Amino acid sequence: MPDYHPPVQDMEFLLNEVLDVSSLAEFPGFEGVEADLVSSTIEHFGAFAAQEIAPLNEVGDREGSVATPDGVVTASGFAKAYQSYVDGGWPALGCREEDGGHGMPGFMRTILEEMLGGSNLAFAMAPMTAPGAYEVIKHSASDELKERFIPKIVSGEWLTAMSLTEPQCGSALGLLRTRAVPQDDGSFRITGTKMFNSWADHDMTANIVHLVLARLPGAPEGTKGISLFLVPKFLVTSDGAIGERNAFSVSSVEKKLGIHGSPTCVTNFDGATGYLLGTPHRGMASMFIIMNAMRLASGVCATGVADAAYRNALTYTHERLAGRSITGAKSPELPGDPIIVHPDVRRMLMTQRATVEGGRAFGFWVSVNLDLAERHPDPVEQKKHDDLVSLLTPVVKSFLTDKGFESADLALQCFGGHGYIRENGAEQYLRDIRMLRLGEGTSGIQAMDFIGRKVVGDEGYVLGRYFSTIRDSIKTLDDEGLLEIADHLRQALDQIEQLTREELPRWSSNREGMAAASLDFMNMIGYLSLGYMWARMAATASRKLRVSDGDATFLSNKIRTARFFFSYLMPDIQALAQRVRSGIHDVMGIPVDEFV
Amino acid sequence: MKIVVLAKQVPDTWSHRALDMVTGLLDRSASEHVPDEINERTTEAALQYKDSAPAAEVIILSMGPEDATATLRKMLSMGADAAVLVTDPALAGSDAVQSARVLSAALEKVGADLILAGNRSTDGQCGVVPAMVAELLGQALAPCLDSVTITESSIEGQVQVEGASLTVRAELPAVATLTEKAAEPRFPNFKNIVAAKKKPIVTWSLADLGIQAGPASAPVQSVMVSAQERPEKQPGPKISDDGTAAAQLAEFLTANRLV
Repeated sequence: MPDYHPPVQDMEFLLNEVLDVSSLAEFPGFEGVEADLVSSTIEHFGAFAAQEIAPLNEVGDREGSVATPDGVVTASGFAKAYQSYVDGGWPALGCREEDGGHGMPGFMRTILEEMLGGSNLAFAMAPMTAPGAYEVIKHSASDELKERFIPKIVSGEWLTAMSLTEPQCGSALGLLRTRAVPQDDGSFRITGTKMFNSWADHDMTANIVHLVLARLPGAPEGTKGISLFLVPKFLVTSDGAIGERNAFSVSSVEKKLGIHGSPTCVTNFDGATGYLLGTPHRGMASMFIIMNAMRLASGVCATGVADAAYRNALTYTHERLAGRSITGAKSPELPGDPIIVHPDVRRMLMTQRATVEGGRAFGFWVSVNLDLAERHPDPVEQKKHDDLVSLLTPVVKSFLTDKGFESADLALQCFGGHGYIRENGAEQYLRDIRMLRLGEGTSGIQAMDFIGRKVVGDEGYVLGRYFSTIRDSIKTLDDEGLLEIADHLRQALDQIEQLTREELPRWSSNREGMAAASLDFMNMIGYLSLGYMWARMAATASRKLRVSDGDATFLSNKIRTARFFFSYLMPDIQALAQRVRSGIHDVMGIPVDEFV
Repeated sequence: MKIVVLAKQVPDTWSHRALDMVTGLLDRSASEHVPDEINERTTEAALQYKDSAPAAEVIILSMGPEDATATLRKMLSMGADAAVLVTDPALAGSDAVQSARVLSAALEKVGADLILAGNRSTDGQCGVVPAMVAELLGQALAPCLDSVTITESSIEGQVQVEGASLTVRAELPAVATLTEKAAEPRFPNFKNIVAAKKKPIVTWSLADLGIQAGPASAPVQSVMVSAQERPEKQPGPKISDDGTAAAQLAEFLTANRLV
């Protein structure tokens, strides 16, 4: 089974050098954010993830989480590992100090999310809803509820879970049926069946705080009649003690392709006691706070899994002997050369490397922008960052999970037949990461959100500003003498801007055409975003090399990988552009009744 | 109660380690430097006592180059209260006797009730410095403890010797060395990682300790006579099976004391 190698050097380079996150320290609340604290967190949490969490990855896959009459039982070691995570104070990292948290910016939590994802995705899913749930409860619960639940969520003593999907509706939550009936004491009785509830029940914490979407009596139809409720597994007395068991149960845990360690539950609420969060019928807005956090986390976790798969493949390609290098034996003392000498293997490794490191940069950069959207002292700047995060959240979610999956597939391919068997761990990464393309809205759903709401919805205004940001960065590349990279990025940007100018008016009047183009267009923005990140990383590496500051091998290989990205992966935008321009006719050509 | 943990920065065991063939000293540029793993286990033993007696103070003491502060920071992140680094150009290439003299001087200045150390480092592997420190300070030595129980006035633990398991106990002040079985180190929690940034690391020179070091002031010293590269590994004998292979193999194993 593979070891997990936390990407310590790459994360430190990215956060402390490229994104220069210590500049956030000038914003109120982030005073303690210094480069050496970022480095220590990366180093120590990386060691924790590698030594405590990663060894349970295969155990979770083999044993799974199992539904029993007494509740869901997690795989061996999971509960103990979660307790170590709590003892480390990690759940409180991004929570406000007034709630007992450490008050760190969200990008610090992104470090944890990627490393947990890379070491054990099933385990990483357990605390994934907590940051969003904390925000929602903090901003929409009564003081009494906050007192009862916030401290336990901040400390991690209690985990949270999210209950949206029902058997008849997933993405179309307007069809939701779960009912909430008001009681005299101000609480509600919740009745209905939910499914795809990750970590809805388990034995890792003494209580579980569910956030459940349900309809009040007489609520309007559709998504404008959905309210959000807090439904604890065990009721909590006014002094904070755990009381009686609430009226809901997990009837089954799904059998599924991957993330076996993460219980995917069917949950029956049978008049369970719940408490309204926020305004009646406005639950979707609150739910989207959690959902958006989960979407970013999904993209970040995908990078983590793809990185782990890549490292595993990289080790194998150095050790596995097969054939001789086409230019003559490179290890004549051995019966064959290690397969990393072969160009096709190298192509697969470089593709993974460029995808993983570029994806990591993109995820962290958006995460830092989210911090700026929350804490920038200038409201105009705050709005700009907020708009940018809103624009790019679906891109992070879908592009990083789709490309992360392709990367994990290439990792498996590096093993040949040895990747398809269980022994080497490559097939588990591929099965596990597959889920991330589905959960929190499929890539197709992300693409519709992106093109419909975020691009056509504001007539391309925020996207245009993003293009300008990227164009401004090209000058730095010119200054560093990275002319080839600058040209590649400039050409890609020109092409995508022109395509956007041409297509945007058509999409406004032809919604079906817009939908047909959505994923391809969003993927173009994905490539452009990774290109922007690679340009920034190459410029930083070049500057540091020029002044002999840092590990020259690491920095030179950053620039080499940037070149590979632009020469080998960025050209995919040509095909995508052609597909976007081809319009809807051939996609929708066969009539539904003939499509049999 | 003041517990001082002796710590050492060593070349990473997993990296290529090399000696300078001219001086016979460690080539510090050849490999990455990390805290010796046994230091974390020893610190853990001290911290477990501190968990039960929060007023106890855990101080990490090291002798080494200036950049050894990174090593000390790791132990501070685990929860130690402060660290002291004795660093001085005259200390380069110190042998065990000189190391023990300098550490003893520093320990007298710190004032320890209990001194804990790993039983031996992964680089020098002499395992004698703590015993020398105990001798110089006139304190008892509880060596090579596989388990450890610390109280306000004593330290006790199990020592494995050939054919027996001994329980040894010393009244404080005392020196004890711990094996890697003694404690499983904790992962630093975030609160301690933040706190470690503000914890003091005091740097002392020889002048601060009021002592001298180097060949001129050494009462006894180890002298490097010559240094040479380890010879290339020679291929072993090949046995072809002519019907006597089993006998030849047994003979080879016996001759090389492998069975």
